[in-house]
Amino acid sequence: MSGPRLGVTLYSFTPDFHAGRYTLEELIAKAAALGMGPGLEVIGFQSIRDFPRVTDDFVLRFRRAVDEHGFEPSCLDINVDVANRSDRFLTEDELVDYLSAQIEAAAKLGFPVVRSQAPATPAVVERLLPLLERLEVKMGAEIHSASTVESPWVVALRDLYDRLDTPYLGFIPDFGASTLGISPSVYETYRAKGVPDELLDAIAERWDELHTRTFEPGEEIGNLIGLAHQHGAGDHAVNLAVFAVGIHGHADPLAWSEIMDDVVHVHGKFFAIDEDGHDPVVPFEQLLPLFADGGYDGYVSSEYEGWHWDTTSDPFEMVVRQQELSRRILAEHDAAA
Amino acid sequence: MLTDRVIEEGTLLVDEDSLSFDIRIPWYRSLPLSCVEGIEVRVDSTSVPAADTWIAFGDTTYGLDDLAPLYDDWWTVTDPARVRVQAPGGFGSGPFEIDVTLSIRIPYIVERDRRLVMRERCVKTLTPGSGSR
Repeated sequence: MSGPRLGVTLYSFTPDFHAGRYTLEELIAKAAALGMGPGLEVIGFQSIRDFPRVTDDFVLRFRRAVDEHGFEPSCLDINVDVANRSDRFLTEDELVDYLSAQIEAAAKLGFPVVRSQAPATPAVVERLLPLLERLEVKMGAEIHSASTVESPWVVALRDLYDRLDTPYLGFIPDFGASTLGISPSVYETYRAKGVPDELLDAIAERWDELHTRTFEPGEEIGNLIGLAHQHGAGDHAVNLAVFAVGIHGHADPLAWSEIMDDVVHVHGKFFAIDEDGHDPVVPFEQLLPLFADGGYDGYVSSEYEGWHWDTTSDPFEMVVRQQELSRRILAEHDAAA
Repeated sequence: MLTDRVIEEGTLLVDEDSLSFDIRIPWYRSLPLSCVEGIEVRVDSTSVPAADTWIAFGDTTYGLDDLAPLYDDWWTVTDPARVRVQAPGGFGSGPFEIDVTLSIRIPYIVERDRRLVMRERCVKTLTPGSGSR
């Protein structure tokens, strides 16, 4: 039966690419050698020099590398850099131009989907639709922690999609928005850096308390920074707050069902897979069957993000484990159907 | 973790009146130079005035005040930038404790019309190498 297909985003290997240990082509080869895929997701402004300008030579080299290693381009992540100017936000016209150039690059590189972000307003999105239709590229707005399917900007897009009824506009759920708690590796890392247990306990309690109510993310990150400073966390305060509230979201996994028909791609975000092949905070056992039963048959990109704090785990090993976990869950689900 | 990479080891050089070293972008992607909102450098706990701090991307050197309008020039994620700080009498021979706080604006994160600026602080003790660059 059809169902979600697996893929990988090269964002998972940011520490290796940033350090210059691998070029883009070497990363593609390495991911293939480790059996990842078949979907391949890339961030334009990470992997491609001078993006969104892509030369014919680069397009050829990229397509050849993708083909040679048996990948299928799944999603090109574009960025809605509304605040790239220091003096003012981009106007609607400027933002349409800024995003059009990136969508055109995606089409040249063979990506069927682009990832958009919250600052692309319904007005901007609607103006991009003719280009998306002409190039046959779908655009999905990423719903990333701490946003949910009920966030005002998401609701505004859902209304737009209801009105336009087009297959070229949709959403990209990021599984980091619906977690069960803060990753154990966050606590392990900061305990090792000397952050006191009483602060880590207080952060865990705060997360549990936020889990029971709606809240304004920016405000709660600020509160948590204050709490961390009270406990002498110093330079660690901001990162701890962002990691705790900003990227470990509270949404009910079942809530993704509300937008299932508009899902064009998925970020299978995770922070660690333990040696038993289990994810302690992202409920893949619940999420993957939910998407399969919902009729989703696009890609789920493995997106490892534990590297933000965990400098000892190997990102490649983590993605291999997560893909094994995903295959096992989907196979068991198929067998039971 | 990328914060720990802001100061690149093995890149410090000194001459009569200045000291220079490479820095890396503490973010996963390339950003316009206009998103570099500030670079605060301390050498052995002494602050260097912004007017005595310079940054070079490729072959082009900028003062810190020059960066704000440059939204169409890019700091590529895999490229180092070169920071140079000056002092009238020089800095001595080292080793030096270099303390850098880099403020970068994340251009796609805006909450209630407020821009997100990350302040990334990296402190390393470096011994000057030889040669010129």
